[in-house]
Amino acid sequence: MKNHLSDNVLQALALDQQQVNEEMITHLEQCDRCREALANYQLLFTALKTVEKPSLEIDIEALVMPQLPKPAPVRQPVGWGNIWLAILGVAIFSVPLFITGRFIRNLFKEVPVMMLSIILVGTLIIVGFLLREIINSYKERKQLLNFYQ
Amino acid sequence: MSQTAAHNLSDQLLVEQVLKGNQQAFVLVIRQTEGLVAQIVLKMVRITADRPDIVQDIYLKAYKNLPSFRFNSKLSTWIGKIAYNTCLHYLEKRKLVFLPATSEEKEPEEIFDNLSYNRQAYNVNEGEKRLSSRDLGAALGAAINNLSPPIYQTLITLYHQEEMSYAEIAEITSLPEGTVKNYLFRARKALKENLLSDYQKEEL
Repeated sequence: MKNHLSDNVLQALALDQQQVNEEMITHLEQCDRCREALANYQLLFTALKTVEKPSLEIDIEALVMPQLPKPAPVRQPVGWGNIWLAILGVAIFSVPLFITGRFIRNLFKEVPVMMLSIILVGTLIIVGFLLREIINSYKERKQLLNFYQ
Repeated sequence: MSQTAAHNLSDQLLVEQVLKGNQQAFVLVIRQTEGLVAQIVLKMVRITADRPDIVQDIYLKAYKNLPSFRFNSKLSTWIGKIAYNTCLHYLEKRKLVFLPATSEEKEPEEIFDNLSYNRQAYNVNEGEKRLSSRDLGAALGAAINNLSPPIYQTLITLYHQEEMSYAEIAEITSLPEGTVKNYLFRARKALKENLLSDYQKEEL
């Protein structure tokens, strides 16, 4: 047989991308070589799907994630709920202070100024230390959260 | 819902999460695309020691450019394109040939052809030898890696193993769809002929 189906057509037939016409069917029935070639392409395309995919053998996550820039902190808009909460907090402290202010002033009337100053400075130092601890602990937790995010 | 639409939806959710600063979502992006990236890098970068840097570069570029992703393709295709371009840049820097010299040469469209066969692959009586499925699996990996020019290896892998469409491969490689089809045609033909030729050598 002089003419054979072109490789273009054989590949398309093996991939089911070519409509088979009478001429091709007749040729394939009569030509062993084209039948074999078609069978080889079909076998090749089936085998290609089953070839084991090679692996990079790299832990991509471990390689990439630490290199990502830290996301910018998202600023939450101040909602009305937060504003009302702040007003309530101020009221809870200021209303009793306003009511009992006179008694408190009388309470410290007899205490010498020096003693009052020492108590005030001592209290402020203790509050300062406590605040520093709270802020440090907050920062540590935030870092931990960013790490897991 | 079509498969592409479903893909776009999950891509959209992932991208939104990453852009909001949820880095865990980017881990999912890596897991979804590492197979494709591995196939591209393995076929294009032969020096094993260079691969980690290239992979890292690919994903850092993807992360940095994610805000510019417009959902015109699947996220995996977009990352595949970044991977392909990064590897191509690496090859160009080393002056390694990846694409064939004549890219626009077209294959004949005729149905019948009496000259297109490699004579080496056939018996004297002009019959084609039959490939055997028994040893094909083992030989095929090596035969793909021996395809030249190297872009044929990448195209065969993307089309037949990653099951991407011609359009998606064209998007990744920035080649016209017709050129992708043409290269794939030549690559398959060369692959079959190389395998047949190897079989004949083994039998001699």
